[in-house]
Amino acid sequence: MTEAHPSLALDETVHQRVRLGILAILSEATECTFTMVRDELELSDGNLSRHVRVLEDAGLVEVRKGYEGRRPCTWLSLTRAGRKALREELAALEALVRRIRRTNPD
Amino acid sequence: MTDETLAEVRRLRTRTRERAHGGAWLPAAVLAALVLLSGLLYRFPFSVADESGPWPYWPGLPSVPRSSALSYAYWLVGLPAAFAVAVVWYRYRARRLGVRVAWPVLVTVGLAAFVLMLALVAIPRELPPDPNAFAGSEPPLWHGFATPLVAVAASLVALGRVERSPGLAVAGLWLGGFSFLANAEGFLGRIPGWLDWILAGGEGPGIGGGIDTGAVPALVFLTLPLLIWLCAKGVRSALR
Repeated sequence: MTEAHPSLALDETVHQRVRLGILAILSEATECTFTMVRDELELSDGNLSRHVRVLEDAGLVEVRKGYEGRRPCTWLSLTRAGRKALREELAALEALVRRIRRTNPD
Repeated sequence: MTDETLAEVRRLRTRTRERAHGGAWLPAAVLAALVLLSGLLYRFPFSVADESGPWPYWPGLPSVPRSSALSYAYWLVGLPAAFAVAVVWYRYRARRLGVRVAWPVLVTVGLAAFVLMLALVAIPRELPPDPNAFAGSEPPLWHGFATPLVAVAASLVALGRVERSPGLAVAGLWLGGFSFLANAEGFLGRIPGWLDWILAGGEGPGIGGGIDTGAVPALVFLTLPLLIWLCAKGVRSALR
């Protein structure tokens, strides 16, 4: 039986470059502000909102609206499913790199 | 392409980790200072005391206190004040950097451990008819938990969990383990038989022994991994 190609393990929702970046950032803290993620990924508000909504609908990210002093502030955090999805995505990517190196050693 | 994606993910994670957990040094330093400053509570901070003082050992270790009431007040005010500093610090960082860590875990665990310790000491117990009946006998093992140092140790383990730092968790286990031993033995510097046996490589009768030490050297020993962690953190940020 042949080994399944690692690219088959990649998740369409998570694999998208910006969404993978959002999950990577959120994986290292309990919560991050929308502004911090936006600045880190150099995105516009609208662009980040769109990707966050996709991740929220997939149950990978949680959005909490609150206040920081008097200013409204949106906090983003990774759900348990989001943490698992990121771990699986990175494992699939690493497997893919190993496979490419094996077939093309140069 | 895949390689680049992985490298970018690694870079983002490293940057966020440094940002999110770069503030661990302050609560760790406050807890270390609290433990080291408690050395002022002992009557013989640097020399060997002939007796352990009255139980509960409110300064934290079994050695004669200057004043039990002062020692009690020190921890009752000092520990919540340390957590208050940590809360202000984490809220300031969250506002400034846009990254939050689960600091309520640190405060909850630390205060819960402290309240449990106070409750453990306050449980009413029947006194023996003859107060001298148990003189010279081994103190009960639970006396090991009746020290504010165990609450500090629990806080450090929680801080290690919150800040994803195994070094802080180890420092907490070290402080908690050796504080427990000293208080369970009821004598500063005593080495129990089983530990003597382990240190001898599992050979010999394991009768135990003791080290002549004052309270302050013992406190430095208890905070050694924490001090090393703080120095390593300082050196790393100086090199950056």
